[in-house]
Amino acid sequence: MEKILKVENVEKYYGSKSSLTKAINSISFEVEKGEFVAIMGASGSGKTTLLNMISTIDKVTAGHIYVDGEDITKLKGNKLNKFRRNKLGFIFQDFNLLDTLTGYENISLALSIQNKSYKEQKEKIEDIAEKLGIKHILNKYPYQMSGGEKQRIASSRAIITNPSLVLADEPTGALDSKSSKQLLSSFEYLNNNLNSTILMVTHDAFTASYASRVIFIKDGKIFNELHRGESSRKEFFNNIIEVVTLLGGELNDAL
Amino acid sequence: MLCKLSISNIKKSFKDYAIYFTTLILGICIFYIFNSIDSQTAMLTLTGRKEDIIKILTQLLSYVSVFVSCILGFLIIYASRFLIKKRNKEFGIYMTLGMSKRRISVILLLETFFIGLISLAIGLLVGIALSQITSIFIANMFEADMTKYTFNLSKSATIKTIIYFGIIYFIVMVFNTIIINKNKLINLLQASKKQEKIKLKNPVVCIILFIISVLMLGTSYYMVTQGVESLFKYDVKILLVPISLGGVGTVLFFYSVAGMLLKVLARCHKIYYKNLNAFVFKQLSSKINTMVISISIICLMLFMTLCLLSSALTIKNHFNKSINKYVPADFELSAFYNDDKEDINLQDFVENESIIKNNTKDITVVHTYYDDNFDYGASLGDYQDEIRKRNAYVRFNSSVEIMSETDYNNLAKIMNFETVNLEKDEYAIVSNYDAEIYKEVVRRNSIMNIFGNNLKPYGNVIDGFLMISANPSNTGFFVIDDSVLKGENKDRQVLVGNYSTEDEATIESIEKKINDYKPEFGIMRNTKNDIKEAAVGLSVIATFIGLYLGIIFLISSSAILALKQLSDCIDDKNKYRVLRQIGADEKEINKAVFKQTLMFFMMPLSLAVVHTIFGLKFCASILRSLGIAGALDGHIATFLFLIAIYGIYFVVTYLCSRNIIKE
Repeated sequence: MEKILKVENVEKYYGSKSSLTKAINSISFEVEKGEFVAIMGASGSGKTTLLNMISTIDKVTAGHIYVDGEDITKLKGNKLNKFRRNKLGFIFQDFNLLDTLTGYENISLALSIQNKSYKEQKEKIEDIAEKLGIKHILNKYPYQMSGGEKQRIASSRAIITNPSLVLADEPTGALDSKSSKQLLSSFEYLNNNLNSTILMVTHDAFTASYASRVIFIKDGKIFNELHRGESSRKEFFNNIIEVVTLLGGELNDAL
Repeated sequence: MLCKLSISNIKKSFKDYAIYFTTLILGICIFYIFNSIDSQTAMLTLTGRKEDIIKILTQLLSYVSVFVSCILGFLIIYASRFLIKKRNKEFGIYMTLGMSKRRISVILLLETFFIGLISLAIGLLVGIALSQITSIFIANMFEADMTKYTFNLSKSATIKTIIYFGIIYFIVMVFNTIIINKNKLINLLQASKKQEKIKLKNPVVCIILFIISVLMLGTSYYMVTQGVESLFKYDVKILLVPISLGGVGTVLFFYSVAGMLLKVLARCHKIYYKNLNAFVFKQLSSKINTMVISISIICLMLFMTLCLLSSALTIKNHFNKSINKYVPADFELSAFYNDDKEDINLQDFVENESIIKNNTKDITVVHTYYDDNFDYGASLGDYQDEIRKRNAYVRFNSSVEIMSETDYNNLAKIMNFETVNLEKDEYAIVSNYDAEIYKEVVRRNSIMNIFGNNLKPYGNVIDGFLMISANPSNTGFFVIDDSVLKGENKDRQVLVGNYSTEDEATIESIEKKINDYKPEFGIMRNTKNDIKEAAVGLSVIATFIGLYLGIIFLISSSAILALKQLSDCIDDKNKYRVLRQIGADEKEINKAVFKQTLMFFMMPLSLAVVHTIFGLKFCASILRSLGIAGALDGHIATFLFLIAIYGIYFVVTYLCSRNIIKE
């Protein structure tokens, strides 16, 4: 299988020499094309730092990250923006929609930045809206939408450009359970039918159980890794819970 | 503790305050300069009539200052409200920590106090420094003596500035306290998280309002340009019609445009969905939507600035040029002949006063005559009918002055006019006001019957006059050959002369003699010095008031726009972060900020420019009725001035915005 993401001995330190905090301590893993990977960990485990480094929002202290074979730790300035524009799609906990723009305009912005023509934008947006069932909210403003609707608009914006990798940071964090389920089904759909590669950070076992693989992080290191394989979502969920219990402490709260 | 907190707050937010602070300092400094005019070095050396002008100017400026302080007061209250909004979260945190609203108010009070103190100190210092320079400018205008230069500080202006701004700051404090006490904790803490709601206006209503606003503006434009003559016929109060139409039209225009702009732009898919344009347009439209009234006021202020400054500079330029042209002689006396009274003889008066006799030269006396059968109507020949139709209110039966060729050529020598050499059957017309009418008469080759002779025109209308004045004012007199002139109907005698001395004291005493000469029958007298000073006075007053109001209007409007743009940028930081995350280039983002700022600044300016195009036409017709004819040549300098101040605010705003959204 084609490797989309390769994280190689990545380290991230904060602070000065006298008081050094190792947020990430030598993490390596790979994500193949079409995979749906969840990264789980408690608050402060370093999972968001890891995501930020993959998304080039933060810089690594040591190590390399390859996306589509390109070492993104070496990118600078506008090349970084170009990389984000063409290779990545983002989904955030608080949606990060521009509240002065309608749903349609929010999605189209990702395409117009790539200088896609109006016609192409329209076709693509109508296509994705059909698939994710958001047609009825395209002309609404964010303040007129529910949380789940906002997140689906954000997801559409993230994948409309056919990115190599979709990064989701606690996508269900601000949603109620019904909206969470709807959103995660959308993710499954994107993963199965559109072959999107998704890397999702979460501390919620239920959310993680939708993934095909879960990587557990504790104190900046990989603690465990679970593959869903042929098991059902329910079984996978139980497996995740077991590891979470092993991980101990805080994560239990998040159940 | 509170004191320390407020000082550190000011230091911390100095960057955000920069524009506010600069505007305060500018306002204070300008306020001081214009209020200290009477005590500036140049003014101290002025005497006589110039001193009177300064008195009038100072009085006028002090009235204008009240108005100016109102504008600045509004600006400062507006700006400080913005800045408070920015800090809602900070106040929220203070309150969760258990600080009472009263103590927060005290912090704000102290902050306003310190800012006021610092800005007053700096503003006054800058004002005092700059007023030394403006002295030179004033000296130049008044041709005053600057050799006795001393450093000067106007106590009264300093105290006045402190009192006026003290009151403004006090009102700001009251407002701030009210705002703080009205706020709820939850709103303070969540102010930044609040979602913006897009208020959509009904497009049909917008279109109707837009049409109404265009009609209103069009009507007022028409009234002040094409319809200006009928406007002048009525009471001055009728002017309120175009003014209020223009004001309301402007507000409706921006209101409807803010509602429609987006609809129209969104139709242009190719532009709207290109790069970050959708974002830029939405930002712009939400800005305009939230400040329709402010933008309308800014537009009107810019419009007034442009008109005021243009007119003021035109008046100034006009007098500088016209004095030399229209006042070629140093003094002039004229007396009408009167059948009932004994004739006076101007020549005798000049001969009998030794001081005048000994210190003057080129004394020329000319006479004019009239012909009972030759009135203004007759002097127009067959062009009369058309003029009658056009100007019904002209007195067509008033007499026309006629001069002999010899007298005219003597006058022409001292006044530098073109001399004539008339045949017996020829007449010449001398005119410099509305000369087009007589030009047409000459073009038609009209035959005139003067003193019973049929005369034909000589050459073209001669550019000249009989009375010296600051403006061209000679509607026309006729010159005919000496032999044709019948001398029984004397109209008036005019004596023109120059000084042969340059000694100012002597000239002054001559002029005193001239002005004191009061024979039984009234005479008119003009001296170059009197005309000059009256003209300089008018131009100085116009320039100063134009500049004062112009600068205040300009900095106020620019500052409001700048503050709105900057505070929006602080609010929208997160939006730019999102843009970066979805991969927008830094260049694209800067471009988006640039476009936004530019369009935001251009919006009120563009309508103001349209207003000004018509407004200047109106100003020109007012000036013409005051005798200041000719094109408004002050507008180029005015536009440069406007572009300079407005442009600086624009550039600084753009750079600061870029800085704010930078990560």
